[in-house]
Amino acid sequence: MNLNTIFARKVAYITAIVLLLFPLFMLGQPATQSTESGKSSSGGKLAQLRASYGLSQSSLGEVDPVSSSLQLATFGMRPIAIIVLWHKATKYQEMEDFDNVTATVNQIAKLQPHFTSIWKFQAHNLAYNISVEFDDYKHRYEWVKRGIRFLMDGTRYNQSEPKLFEETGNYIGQKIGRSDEKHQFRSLFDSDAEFHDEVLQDIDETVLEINGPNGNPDNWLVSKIWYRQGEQVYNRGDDDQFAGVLPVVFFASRPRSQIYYAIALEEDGLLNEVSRAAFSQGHDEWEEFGAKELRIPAEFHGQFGDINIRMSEYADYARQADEAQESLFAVDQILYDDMVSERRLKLTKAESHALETDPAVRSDYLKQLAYKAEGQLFINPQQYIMALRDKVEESPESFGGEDSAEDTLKEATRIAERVMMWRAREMASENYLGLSNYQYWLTRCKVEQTKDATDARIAVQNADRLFPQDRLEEARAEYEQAWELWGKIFKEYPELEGDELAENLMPSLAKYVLLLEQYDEEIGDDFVLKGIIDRYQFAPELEGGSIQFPTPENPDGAVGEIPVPPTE
Amino acid sequence: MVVDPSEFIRFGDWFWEAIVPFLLTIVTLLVGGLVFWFVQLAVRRHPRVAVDIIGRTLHNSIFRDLPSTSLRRILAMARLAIHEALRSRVLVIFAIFVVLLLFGGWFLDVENDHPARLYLTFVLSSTSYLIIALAMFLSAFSLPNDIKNRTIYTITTKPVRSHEIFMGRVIGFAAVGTILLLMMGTISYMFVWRGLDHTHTIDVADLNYDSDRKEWTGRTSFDRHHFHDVIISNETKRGIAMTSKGHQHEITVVGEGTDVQFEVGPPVGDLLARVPVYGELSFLDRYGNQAESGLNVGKSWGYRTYIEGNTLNTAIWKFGDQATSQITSATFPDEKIPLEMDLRVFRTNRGDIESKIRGEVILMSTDPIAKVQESLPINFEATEFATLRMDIPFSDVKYLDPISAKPISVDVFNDLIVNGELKVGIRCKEHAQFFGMARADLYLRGPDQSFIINFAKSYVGIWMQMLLVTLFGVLFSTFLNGIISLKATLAIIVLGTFAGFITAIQTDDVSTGGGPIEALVRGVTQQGAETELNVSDGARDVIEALDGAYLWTMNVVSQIAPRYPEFNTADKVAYGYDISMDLLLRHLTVTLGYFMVISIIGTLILRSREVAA
Repeated sequence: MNLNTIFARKVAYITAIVLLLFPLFMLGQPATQSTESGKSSSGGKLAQLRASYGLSQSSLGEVDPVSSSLQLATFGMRPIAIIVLWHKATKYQEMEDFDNVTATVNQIAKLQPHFTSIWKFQAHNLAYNISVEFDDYKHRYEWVKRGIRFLMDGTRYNQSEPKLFEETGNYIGQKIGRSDEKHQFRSLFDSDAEFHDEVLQDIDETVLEINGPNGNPDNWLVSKIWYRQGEQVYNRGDDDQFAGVLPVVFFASRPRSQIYYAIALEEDGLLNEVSRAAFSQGHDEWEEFGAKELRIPAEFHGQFGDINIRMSEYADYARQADEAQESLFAVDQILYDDMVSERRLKLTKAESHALETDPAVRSDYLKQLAYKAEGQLFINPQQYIMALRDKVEESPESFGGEDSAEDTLKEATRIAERVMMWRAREMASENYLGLSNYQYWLTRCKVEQTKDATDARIAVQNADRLFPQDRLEEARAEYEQAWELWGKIFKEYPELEGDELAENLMPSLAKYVLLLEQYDEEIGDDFVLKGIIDRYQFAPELEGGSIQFPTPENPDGAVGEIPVPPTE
Repeated sequence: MVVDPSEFIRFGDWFWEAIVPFLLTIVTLLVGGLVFWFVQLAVRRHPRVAVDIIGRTLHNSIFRDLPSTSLRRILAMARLAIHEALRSRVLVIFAIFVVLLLFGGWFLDVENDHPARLYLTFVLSSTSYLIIALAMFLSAFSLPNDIKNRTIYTITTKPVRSHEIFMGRVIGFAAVGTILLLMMGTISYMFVWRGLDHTHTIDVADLNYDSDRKEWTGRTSFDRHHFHDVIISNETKRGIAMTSKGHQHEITVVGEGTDVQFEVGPPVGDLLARVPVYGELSFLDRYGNQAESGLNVGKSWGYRTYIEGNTLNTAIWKFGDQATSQITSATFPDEKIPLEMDLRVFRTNRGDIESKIRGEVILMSTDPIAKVQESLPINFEATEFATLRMDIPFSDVKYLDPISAKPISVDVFNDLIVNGELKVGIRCKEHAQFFGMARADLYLRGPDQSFIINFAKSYVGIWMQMLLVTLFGVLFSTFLNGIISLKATLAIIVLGTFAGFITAIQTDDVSTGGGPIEALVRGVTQQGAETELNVSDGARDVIEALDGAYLWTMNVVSQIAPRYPEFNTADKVAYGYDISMDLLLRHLTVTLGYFMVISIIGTLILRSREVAA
């Protein structure tokens, strides 16, 4: 091999490399946009594909040099590194080495910044699982904050993921405002100016109020801002981003936060026009949520593809469906009557008897039978159309000739489709109403705005304070005033009797029972809240459940089994 | 901090326990090696020739080479190795390390609760990874390259003995590693110190002044992701910024009246070397009878066990017996019992959220006829995940006089501590709440050691790991070619690192599903690890036999390999605990043992190679 051959080879290799660079450039050229000239290039084929599937780094969210260099540093071993890190994180958690858990979790997130499950799973781990490992509530609060920070970082990397924004709002609202330590957490949040800066730094929000009555940001109001961000992201995105989450759950979060804010004010002892105004706003926002057009995914109702409904129009949907159904059966009323009569003949004697019995006096068994019988008699539009089709084919003359019979069938099919469409909307909105507990919250907001409710709460609060001070007469008077007011409220809104509002009165009712015992009295059958007491069977219990006067056998005054050495 | 139970054994006890198996292993290895050598020569040549060669080699090695060992020649060989190492651009490793430190800050979790731990773990682990990789590459390739390039002839033609060549290489490479370690250690210390050094400012307007107590309370400025609560006395003109992120600051008051200002000192308490004196842990059950262990509250990690509150369930640490050093008045120089504890709390009900769980310390005598059997309880509140320091002044130690039923002060050394022994009992006071503890969670705290010395001790641990890797690298390179000896060295590191895991597999403690062959069969045929292997009886026997042989070999080799993780003391430095001399001595002894054995084997192998003969 002489020098010429070697040289020729080198030239050939370099030429091949240069030639190969062209297709590589065509494929891999990045998308660019010049801010000065305004010219932009959509980039090579790969860049275009990434853009069309929403996979390019810049379309997903912030691109972090640290994250990118870490991904590069793993030399294609990223999946293995991630598996090892997950394993390490689990191990550290088991060994209660929580500093290393956070450090490891951060590394995982840097390696997979656009995989939202990491952010959600590990944020939950930090804020819910690890936080409770700590005995001091201040430490717990720090870990909750860590979970929230982690989620906020996640939103920066994934700015088109409404769920991450919603989850951040959820942690700021629910975890701080509804956990066992809610009073302590809320108070810590209230004075945590540094954290306020953190949770508000990415928010350009001037529309919503974030400050509570004392002028500091309130966790519930701050959570509303995050929910709102999520809604905005959702509104600009496509529907696919929302797989697995129902819009009703997603959109209920923000108005419900307003209601929880109002409840929190009451629980903090603020029983005045401020809390009433908060409920009033909650009521408005909840109504706005009810009037919002919500998408129902096809898999939720099984027909017609995705449909849009408004929960506030539930009654209208039902009316439209009923009216359309009536006009459907009116197409051939005789056919309908025949179908019903035929089915009626198939009912058992017991079922017929149940149907004939006045609903007001039916026993449980009869109710069950009647329900079954009604189901059997019910004719849905498809069944009716099938029967009509058979009749058209068998005796078109009864419709005035074949052409007229066909027209009748077409008209009936059109009406039947309308029935089904309205029925689907009715059913879907009924489901959404149930899922969001819509009516309860609406009524609750309405009730809490009344002066009666505020006065009733103030009276209970006073009585609960007076009773342990042995000011029995005063406590009794306050309790009785409160029960009278609550009785009035429950009479007007009986649906509230079976819910949280009534249940929350139970500890105070228990104290009232104990108070009556001091007078050798009992709750009478005519007691205004007897219904609630019967609903929630209870044993009178003192608050805290562990108060007992110390005795020589039990010097710590604790309730529970006192250890006794085993006898031989 | 989690402490391995083997660390509680004192060096003397360990040494006498370890020496017999060690010698047995040496003898077995030597005899086995000689038999193997004999068989190999006997087959290739003739048994008589084999005896002749082996005999001559041994004779010459012991009676000719060893006495005429020349330190000058060894050092010359070492110098050669150093030159070779420098030619291989080992300083690149140092450059990589510096780059790592420069950018390391990017990847460290700045909001971590204990930044000192994170910084220290980072520098110590990156140093050890880099230096071990360096030792591996240098040692594994050097001799094979010499043999390949025939440069070894220029040495073997000189009057240099095989063991001098071997030792020279090891010492030379170790010297290079030592110098690199010294440089890395210095830079690491500066990195940690600079990374943690900070201060805060305090604005008098942000503080509340209590004129009765004559002190300010409030908080410092928010810097480096944290602030501190402060208490500053106007009388002493001094104050303290309470613990946050694992450290405190001292505060000095400057000026008076409206000109008052506060100077905040550098962080203290994050770079520590506590000296814990550990006791032996035992338990009493809820009725006060002796129990085998504490309770399990359902945690999968069994390191800690628990005691039930408001019962006689007690955790008792016994200090001063043979396992730990005896308690003398020097143990308590300030007439205080310096207890430190880090107990876990497990609540079965929420209780009072804002209150900590209360417990009590009871000092007990080990002598059943001592005047004071146990002191009156001394109360404390458990601070979970933060070390609680309790300095119990002798004057606070009281007992209930049986006659007058009044608390009376105890003469700690005469009434309570007998034969230098003392027991410390812990009880939880609250019903249905639990305290969790392991042996290392409560100790008597001796005077602190210097952090820098502790940091250096940790580097000695890394140095020993490097030496061991070098030894194995040079050993393998005496009879394997470069890349194979590199792989062999790596295998020894892996086996040594996972020796515990390998033994656990061997004894079926860790996994079901058999050894590698069985796992392969299960993988291919998609059979779960928990089900019985569905193959014919004959096939199962073959698979089990192959797996058994494989695992046995792995286990034996892993037992021979040094346990590298044991030399890693980064955790102790990071958590602020002194690396005890017992532990350091043990590691040094192990290293020395390997050094001697591997030097002998390496020399013999090198002698037996024709190139060096």
